[in-house]
Order: sequence, then structure tokens, then C-alpha cells
Amino acid sequence: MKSIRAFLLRRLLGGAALVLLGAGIAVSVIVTRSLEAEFDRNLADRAQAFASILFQAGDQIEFEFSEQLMPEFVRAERPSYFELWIEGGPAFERSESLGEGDLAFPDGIGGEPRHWTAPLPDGREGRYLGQVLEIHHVYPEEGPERPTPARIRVVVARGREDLVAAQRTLLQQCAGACLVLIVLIAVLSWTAVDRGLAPARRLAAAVDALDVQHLPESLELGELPSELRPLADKTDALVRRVDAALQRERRTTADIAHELRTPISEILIASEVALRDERDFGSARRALATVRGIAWRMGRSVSTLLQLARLEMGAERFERGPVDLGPIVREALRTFAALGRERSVRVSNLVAPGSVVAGDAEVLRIVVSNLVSNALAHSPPGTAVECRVERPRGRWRLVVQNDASDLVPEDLASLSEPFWRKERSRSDRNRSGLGLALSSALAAQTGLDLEFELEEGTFRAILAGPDEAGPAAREADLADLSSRSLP
Amino acid sequence: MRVLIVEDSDTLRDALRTGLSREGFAVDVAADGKLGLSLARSNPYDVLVLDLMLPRLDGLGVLAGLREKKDRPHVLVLTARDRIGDRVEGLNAGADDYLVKPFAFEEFLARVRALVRRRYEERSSVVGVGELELDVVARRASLAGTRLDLTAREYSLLEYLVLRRGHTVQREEIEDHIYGVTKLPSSNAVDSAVCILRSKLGPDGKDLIRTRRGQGYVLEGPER
Repeated sequence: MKSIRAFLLRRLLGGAALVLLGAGIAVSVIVTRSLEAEFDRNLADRAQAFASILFQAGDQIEFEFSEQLMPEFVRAERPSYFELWIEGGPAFERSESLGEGDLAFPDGIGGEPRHWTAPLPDGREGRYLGQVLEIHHVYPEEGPERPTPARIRVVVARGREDLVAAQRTLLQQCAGACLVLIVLIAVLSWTAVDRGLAPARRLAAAVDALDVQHLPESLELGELPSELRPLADKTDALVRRVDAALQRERRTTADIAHELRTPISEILIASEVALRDERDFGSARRALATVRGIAWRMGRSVSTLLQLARLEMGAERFERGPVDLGPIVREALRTFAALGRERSVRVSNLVAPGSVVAGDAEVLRIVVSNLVSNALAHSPPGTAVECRVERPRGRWRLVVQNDASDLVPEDLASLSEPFWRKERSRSDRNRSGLGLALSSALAAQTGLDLEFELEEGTFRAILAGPDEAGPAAREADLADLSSRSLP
Repeated sequence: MRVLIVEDSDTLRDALRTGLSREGFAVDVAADGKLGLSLARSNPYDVLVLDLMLPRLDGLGVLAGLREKKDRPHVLVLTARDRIGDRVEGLNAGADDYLVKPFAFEEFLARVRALVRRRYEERSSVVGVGELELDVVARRASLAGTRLDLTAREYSLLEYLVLRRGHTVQREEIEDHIYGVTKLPSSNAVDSAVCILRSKLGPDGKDLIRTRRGQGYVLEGPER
């Protein structure tokens, strides 16, 4: 459908034309039949009129025809015709218009009138009536002398041209009325469709007028018809999503700029201070080491950002297969064991070997590593980090849980944003603030869900996916649920 | 002159401390806002170099905490936030100057020195008392046109006495402004430093820096 307006107009006009055509045909058939019936009734009346002017006295039959009362039978132009026969006998009366000619009286006609259409003697199309009449006026009227009333065959014929003209006029008027109605319907339909589409144009104008730099919280569209409301609501939701994405983008850009400013300042100041004292080689070496460390840190951040960008563009390819979470979690905990010891954070690993899930092994290694290091880095000293696998109804969930009394529920939505930190200062130089953003992107790209929960000061990072490993893996999980602390 | 640097970046904090120390400033450092505020409240700093985004207590919180302090230091805010609104917010909160990261050490140093001069109400970078002339930007001192050969600590002592000229300066005050909290001077360090400085100022040194018995020292001379 290229145009709603054209579609609606086509359908409305097509439908209206069909209805009008049907109605016109029905009306013309009904009216034509009425006219024909009326025409036939008129012929029958004329035949009955003949009966009233037939007289019988003994064997004598009189037909008292009056030219004044029935001038159509004597006129020169477009005359009507009749002919009378005594049943079983010859014709005894005919109209002047018939001259010496005869009309045909078909076989099988009795007391009931019969109509038929046939050419008139002058060649016009005519309508005929044939009937056998019994003479009413019989003399003497009573007594044994009264003769048996004679039966008279009557044929009356009349030209159909008036009927045909009336029918044609009727058809023309019907067609004209239909045309006028179609034009009227077209105009009304156009106006109605135009008005009906006005809210859609308003919606389009409102979307067109949007300034991407300053997207509103909601579109000001006023009253909308119920059919357009879902579209407006979806557009509104889309605008909000676009706005959120743009704000996230701007925030990320600002954060990247901010993240770069501090290390650049560090490089600048460290190198400038070292350069101010040309004799102090030790200071210069320390400055160089500092600059190298910062450059490595910046390089790691840039690599992660590039990886994030590639993930968002869908440029990375992943493999999906059975992966045992047990060794991956153990390896992550071993890698960050020093961090846990340094911060006096205990570890409880409930992930048994053989906890097989479906996913990309490398992705799972990165995500688990980020979740574990994050939990160890942010748990208050003296608390514990717990890792476990759950398999609720056709899914698997890896839960990494830690205490997080400083988090509030509103923080959860920001955890996956690049460079988001609870404390906006950059005091922890070893953490780029990109780990959870990268993990979320990796999880999303490999069909996994990474969600965060906060319940009474307990934070849970939950990596989940469809359980394709079957009951064997579930049994393996249950087989080894002993709590193990890292060495 | 004594400076407190409150900055959470270890690298930046250490580099700024090293750079300022080499320029003769007594430098204390703090890695978070709470410690910074505590140090600023309890010590007479001339300049406070303050990062805005700090752990535990942000820079604006530190500024708010210093609002009631008598003789509060002049504050140079360091931040990566460069929007006008951020600058206005910082200046309204009590900052005296604003430096956006990344910055050059030279500019940072010039701004710290400018704040020191503002604190002692000096408009010019060259201050003269009698025959003595001090270029606080070049950190050079000369007497009757002859350049004095001073160590950084001696120059700092002379600079402080010149900036406070006409006022009696107590030994503790000199200690507070010339030494940082981590470098506690020995009991007679100030006296011996003044003694050495006088000797380097020549025969007029004793007249230029006078001892007020039981009170401290005063540098006096005709204004130029």
C-alpha cells in the first residue's frame, strides 16, 4: 500500500459504486416491472371496457364502440389495435387502425388474460392482450328466452414505445443519480480521509520538528484518535530511547575525555617536573616509569573501548559450545586472590567442576573474571564474596554475590555504563571502569543476560542463559556444593 | 610558602609535590577530601591546591568546610571539568582560581605564586625593601644590585619575611610556612636559618632582619 489516502478512497468509492450499481439495477428492475404490470393492467382494463360495450340479443351481437372514448384505436399516428371474434366463429369487429388486417389470437387462451410482446401491424414493438370474454349484457335478461351468453375472443394491442421511453428515462435518471452520489461520496470520502489523516500528519510534523540535541521528555500531540495512540506511544517511547542512548553516548564521550584528561595531566606534570632538574637522573627515570605505566593503562582502556565499539557494531564473531564454569570461576578467583587478601575479603566458591553451560568459553572467561574482580574490589573488608551456579526452570545462572552497602537501587541501571563509578573520583587507578560495560556487551552479543540485583545491602551480578546442558550438569552442580576458600 | 595539595591521583600528587618542593614551597599532600579538609583546618597554608573529584569528600565539600576558617588559604582548584557552569560553581564555592586538566606545570606554578602574592597583597612580582630586591617569580634576591646566593629554604625564609615586612613574625609562624608537616624542624632550625640569612645579607643583614626578643623576627626597611 503506497498511500493510505488512495487506498481508502479506492475502497470507499469502489464499494459505494458497487452498492449504488446494485441498488440502481434493483430499482430499475422493480420499477420496470411495475411499469410493465401497469401497462398490462391498462390493456386488461381496455379489454374489460370492451366487455361493457358488448350486447347480445338472441343471436345478434352488438359492439357499441365510441371513438370519443377510445380515440387511440382510430388515430393515424401510433394507434392501438383490437379485434373481436365470436368463439369458434369469424372476426366481427376490428379497430379502424387495423384496416382490413387481422391480429392473431394464439391458441390456449381462456377467460384469464394473457399478455405477450410482438410487432404491431405497423411494425412497432407492441404489447398484446388476449382473453375470452362472456357477454354481460344479454337480452332478454331473464326467462326461458334468454340466450346463452356468447363468448368473445378479444385481442388488444398497444405500442410499447411509451413504456420503453419511460424505462429509458428511469434508467438514465438512476444512472445520473448514481453518478451524482458517487461524486458526492468521493468529495465526502476525501474530506473524511483528509481529516482522519490529520492526526497522522500532526504526528509526522511533531517528529519532524524534533531537535536531536534537545529531545523532549514526551511528544506534545494533544488529543489523538485511539487508532493512532499506540503509534504515538511507540514513537514517544522510541524518542525516549533515542534520547537515553544519545545522553549515554554524550556521557560516555565526556567520560572518555575526562578519563583521558587525568592521565594526560599526570604525564605532562610528571615529565615537566622531571625535565626541570636536568641533573636529577633518578627523578627522570622515575618519571619515565610513571609515564610508561600511565601509557599502558591508557592503552588498556583504549583497547577495551575499541572492543566495546566492535561489539556494539556486531563485528565480533563468537563460538557457542558446552563450557565448564567450574575451572573458569576457579581461575578467576585464583587470579584475584591477592586482591581479596589485600582487602581482607573471603571467598566462597560453590561452583562445582562439571557445571557445564552453553556459551563462548573466552567470553565467559572475560565476564567471570570481571565479575569476580569487581566483587573483590568493592566488598567491604571482612565480608565475603560468593560464587554459585543455579539452574531454575530451563536456565542456568551464575551468581557472584558480595556486600555493597554503599550501592542504592538507582545505581544498578548505571553499572553497565562505561566509566561509571559509585564515587566519581578516579582514586582507584587500577580499575578502568569499563569491566562491567564490556561484560554486559559481551553477554548481550552471545545471547546471555547479565543482570544486577541489590537486596538489603547484598549485591548480586547474575550471568544467565538457556540451560542446554541437561540434567547431567544439574547433578554435577548438586554433587559438589561444599564451600571452598581460596588458598 | 606552604601549600597543601589535595589530589587523588598518586602520580599527579607526587609530581606536583616534587615540583613545588624544588621551587622552595613547603608542601603537604592529601589523597582524599576528608584528610585534606582536616589538614587545611589545622595548618596555616598559604595556598590550597584542590582537585574537585575526590574520594570520601569532594572538593566542593572541602571548600564548604573551610568557609568558616579564619585566615583560610587561597584555593586553586584543579579539575577535569571545564564547563563554564563547573567553573562558576567552583568559584562561587570559594575557589580563588581554576585550572583545567591537563595543564602545564609552568602555568600551575605561576598561578600558585600569584595566589601567594594575592595573599600578601603584593601586586608586583618584584618586591623591594631598601637595598634588598626580591623577584618572587624568578625566585632571585639581590642586595644593592648584587645577586644573593641563597638555598631554596633560605630564599623561602627571606621571601616570607619580605612579604610580611613590617610585621613581627613568630618562629612558629615561620615553621608553619616554611616547613611541611612531614618535615618538622629542629627546635633552633629557624634561628639558625635566620642567622645564616643575615650573614648572607652582609653587614646590613642584622639591621634588615631584627630580632624582637620573645616575639620573633621583623624585616624592616624603606619601601621602594
